[in-house]
This record gives sequence, structure tokens and C-alpha cells, in this order.
Amino acid sequence: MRINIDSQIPIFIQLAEIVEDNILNGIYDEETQIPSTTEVAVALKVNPATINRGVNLLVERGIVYKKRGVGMFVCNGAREKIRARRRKAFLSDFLQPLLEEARNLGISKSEVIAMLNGYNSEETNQRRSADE
Amino acid sequence: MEKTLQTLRWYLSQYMARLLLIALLCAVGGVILSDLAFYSTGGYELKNVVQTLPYELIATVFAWIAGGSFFIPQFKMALANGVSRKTYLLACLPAIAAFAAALSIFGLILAWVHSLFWPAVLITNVLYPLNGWFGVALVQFAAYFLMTVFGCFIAILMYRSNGLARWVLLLAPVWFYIILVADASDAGRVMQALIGYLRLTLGFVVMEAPNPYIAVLSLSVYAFITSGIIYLMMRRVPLKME
Amino acid sequence: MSDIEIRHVSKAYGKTKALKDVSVAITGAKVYGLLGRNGAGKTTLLNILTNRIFADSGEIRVDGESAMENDRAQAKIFYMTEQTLYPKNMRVRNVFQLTRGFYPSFDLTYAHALAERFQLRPESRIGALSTGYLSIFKLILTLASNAPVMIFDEPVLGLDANHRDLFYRELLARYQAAPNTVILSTHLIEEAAALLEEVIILKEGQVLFARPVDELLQLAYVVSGSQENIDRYAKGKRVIREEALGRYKSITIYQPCSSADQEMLARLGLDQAPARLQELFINLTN
Repeated sequence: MRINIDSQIPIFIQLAEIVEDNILNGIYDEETQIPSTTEVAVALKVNPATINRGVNLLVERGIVYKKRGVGMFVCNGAREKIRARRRKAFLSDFLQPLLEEARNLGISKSEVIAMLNGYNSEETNQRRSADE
Repeated sequence: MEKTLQTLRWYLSQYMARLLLIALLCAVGGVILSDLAFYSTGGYELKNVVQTLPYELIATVFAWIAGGSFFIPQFKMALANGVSRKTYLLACLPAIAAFAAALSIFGLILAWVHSLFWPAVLITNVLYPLNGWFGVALVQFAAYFLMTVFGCFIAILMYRSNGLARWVLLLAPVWFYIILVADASDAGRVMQALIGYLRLTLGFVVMEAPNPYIAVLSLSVYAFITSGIIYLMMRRVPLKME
Repeated sequence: MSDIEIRHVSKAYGKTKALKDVSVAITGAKVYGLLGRNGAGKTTLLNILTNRIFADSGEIRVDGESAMENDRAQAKIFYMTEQTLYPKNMRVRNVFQLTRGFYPSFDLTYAHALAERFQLRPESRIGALSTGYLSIFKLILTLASNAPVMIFDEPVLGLDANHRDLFYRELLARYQAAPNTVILSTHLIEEAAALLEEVIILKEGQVLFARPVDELLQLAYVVSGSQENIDRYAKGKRVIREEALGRYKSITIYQPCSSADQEMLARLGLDQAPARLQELFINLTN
């Protein structure tokens, strides 16, 4: 896990995003425990209060829940919730910047669509794993 | 709070014990040297002549040095541990008393051991007509206690002074000497007054029958006053780093 | 943890006024950052709090009682000073032992464990330690003291990157295990920023700010974009930093961003980002 202190995104949101990423990737399974505030604070060198804000955000979103005296666990159905929320945000988070950049570069929408159609994700994945 | 005081006393005593060890080694060395000197000049025939041990002189100087050397470093250490100045001083006094008591008792032991193979007497015995060991110990104790406190006083005085004042203080023996020289040319009135004063406070009003208990009393009063002055000088002294 | 109340404290050295009527409260188990440029009065304030020196006027209360020459109040504070106040010939091990006498909560086992992790030999004499190891020695003392108030003055002075990292981690672990009031006085703001919950910024002997980091950061924001648009946007706003690179310009605006501002930003196609503590600090204390 890595936090970018210089980022425009507040640390507690970054933290929530990281946990969500890990849930999506299956690193944290549903109904399993995630690291405690203490562990995370020490690992990331971030004030525990900030970590708690991130955790509270996840609790609000229904992604994790606290078991008193035990720790924090991933909610049942958390993965689906994250997906649903991110799907909604996909347009503003990913498509919009993509189209803005395309416009800056003078790439037309149809060219972008052509690129997307021609994009072979498997090939890219192979290249990426070869790099690693 | 009791705990703080205990810790400080324990620690200071330990520290003073080390100084004591050095003092005692030097004192024993001094006594042996004086024996050797006596032996080589007078020959073995003098073995029945009573030796005056230089122990108290050495011990007094050491008491002074001990006071001067421990006071400020330990004060800083106490400050680092959140000890107030008053508590520090309160812890110092018993440690100094223990130090002075140890020095005086060791003097008695040394004299006793020495007289097993060569008759010996302490300076205190020479000065005052004392019969029991207690009186000798008491006079010594008062002297060492005062000298150690006085060492502390010099230390805090130096600590509070800036560069120039420090030099003036360091050269105190020189000033004293100049005063004496000037005084000598003026019929030695200052010197006379000083001697008179010392005779009075050290119990030599009647030269033939000196009273050691007047000396003990005066020395204690001096120590008490010096401690009071030290407290006043310490009360608001800021931490300084050299 | 303890509550510290600093009331109208002033201190002058000759004609230089080191602190001018400083009033600030430090409350509860939080990590405070005491920030300020050299000579801003950070160390003077901490020295007064811990009886190293005395204020000319004003008072400091720890849990309601005066801190001045008060053993009970002082026993709650462990202050890692930049100076070394231990006799040079003392050994690290002995200082640990001694500190436990003064601070009953001092954790001897932990102190030795930390010494091992920092590769500080307990047999070393204080006088023989390098600058870095002196810092390590003192920060171990402070961490292990378990005092309700732990004050670190420039804790990472002379420490290499690994040791700095280790320190920040240990500090947080310690803080969580036993929540105490932690005061970090440092000029390495960037490094410590994420650790802090509250900041107190001193400038020329006065308190410029004393509030949660979040609130401080919300007071300002960074805007960047083309020069013309930036200038248009900045009109009538309080700009505390300007940086231009050709036609690109970035400014820091020291006032909250209203919704009208948000709209204008969008319309002008400007990028907005939160201000960073370090940046804000530099610009405010300049």
C-alpha cells in the first residue's frame, strides 16, 4: 500500500480507495478481517485519526463493519457495492478525463472509439506480465 | 513526588560515592607520601614519634572539588527529568551530608589503622583537645559539609556569571594575595581582623583551651547560610549550555 | 494524556522578544505539530513549559495546576531537548535505569528493544555518541517514558532515512498503544505532515495558527492553468503564492473556495488542488 501525501486527493480518501481496490482484487475477502487502524497507521506513517476517517468512510459506504474488540471486517456483498459505486463514477472518473485529453490532442471522438475497438487488452496484459 | 526525591538521592549518593572513592585514594596516597617523607628525613628512630596525618587537608580540598564538580552537571540531569530546582537542592543536601560523614569516618579509621604500626594523630586532634572519637568526627563532618556546600556555591556562581565575571572569580586567589600584600604595608590590619574573627568562630577565644563545639556551630551556620544563598541563586536560574 | 494551557506567556532576551503574549491550549491525546521558522520561539516556549527557563510574564498550567517549579506537573512531561543534559561519562543503559526512577511509567524493556532496533549500544557512553545517535538515544528515552505528554524537539536531527522511518512508525505505534499528548517540534514539515492532527504555527514569537490540520488546509487552495485565466480568477482574491512557468501559472489562494468560485473555476477550465501544509507554512511564515 502506498499513500501519496502530495496528491490532490485527501489521505483518508486514498486510504479508502486502497482498501476498496484490495477488496475488488480479492486480497481482502468478504467477511474476513482487514488490518487494524494501528497496523495501517504505522505502515503508512499516517495519524490514526486520519486512518479512522478513511475507515468511517468505508463504514458509511457499507463496505466494512466494526466488531467491537475484534477489529474490522469486510461486509457481505461489499465487492458488489464497490463495483456499483465505481461503475456510476466511471463516466466522470475515467471517460471524462479521457475525452478531455483527446480533445486537447485533437483526437476526435470517432478516432477514440476506433482505438477502443482496436485495443487488445489480452496483448497488453501479456506485455505487462512479461515486464514484471 | 517522594519517588523523585528518592531517585535523586539514590543517584546523587552513587555519584558522590565515586567521588569519595577518588578522594579516599588520594588521601591514603597523601598519608603514605607524608610517612615516606617523615621516614626518610627522620629515620626509623622516629618510629615512636607521633605522626600528624595530612588527611583532613586533602579531604577538605576534595570536598570542595566534589561540590564544585557535581553540582551543575547533576542539576542539568535533574532538569532533564522534570525535577524542580527546590527538589534538586533538597536531594543534594542529604547526599552532601552522607559524603561528609563518610569522609570524616574514614579519617578516624585511617588514623586508627595507622597507629597500629606508627602512632598517628589527626589535625583535628592537634587543634582541639578532644577525647572521644565522636567529637573528632563531628568537627571533621562540619568542615567537609561546609566545604562541599561551598564548592556548590562556587559552581553556581560560575554558572551564573558571564565570561568576564568568571575570570574575576577564577583569579580570586590573586585578588586575595594582592589584598594581603597591600594590607601588610598597612600594618596588617585586615589580616589581624581576619585572624581575630577566625579565632572567635573556630573556638580559639582562649588559646590554651580551644572549644571545638563553637567551631562546629559556626561551620554549620556557614553551611546553612551558604545553602540559603545557593537556593536564592538557583531559584530562577535558566538552563544554560556551555 | 494531559491538558496544557499556555496563557499570555512573554519572554524577552535582552531586546529581542522571543515570545509575545502567547496563549494556546494543547488538549488531549493528539499529535500536535509545533511549527515555526528558526527563531520563531518554538524552543523558547517548550523550554518555559518544562522549566528549563522562566517566562517574563504569563503562566502555563498542566491539568489545572501551574507548571512552574512544580514537580507533579513536570512529572507528566518528558521533553526531548536538542541539548544533551546527561553527564558525558554516563552509559546509555544507566540513563535508562535512572529515567525509570523519575518516570515510573518508563518502559525499560521497550527502551532496550528500541535501542537494539536502532543499533544503539546500551554500553555506549553519552559523550561518545554521534549527533545522529544522540538524537536516537534521546528519542528512545522519550518514546519509552510513556509520559502523558511527550515532546520531541527536532527528533530526527542527524538521522538517516531508515532511522527516520523507524522513528515515525514507532511513534505512531506507541501513540496508539497508549494515547498520550505528543508534541512534535520540527522544521521537516513535509515528512511529519501526515502524522499531525493539530498544528500550532509560531511566527516571530506569536501564535499564527492553532487548529486541526484539516481546518488549516481548508483555508487555502491551489489553482493552476493559463496565465490569463488565472489572473482573471485571482482578481480580488487573497493570493499568497504565485508561480509562473511561461504561460502556465499556479497560485495559492488564501480563502475558502465558495460555490461561486467553483463555478468560475469550471468555466475558466482551471485546475484546483488542496494546499499542502509545507507550502502553506512557507507562505504564511515568510
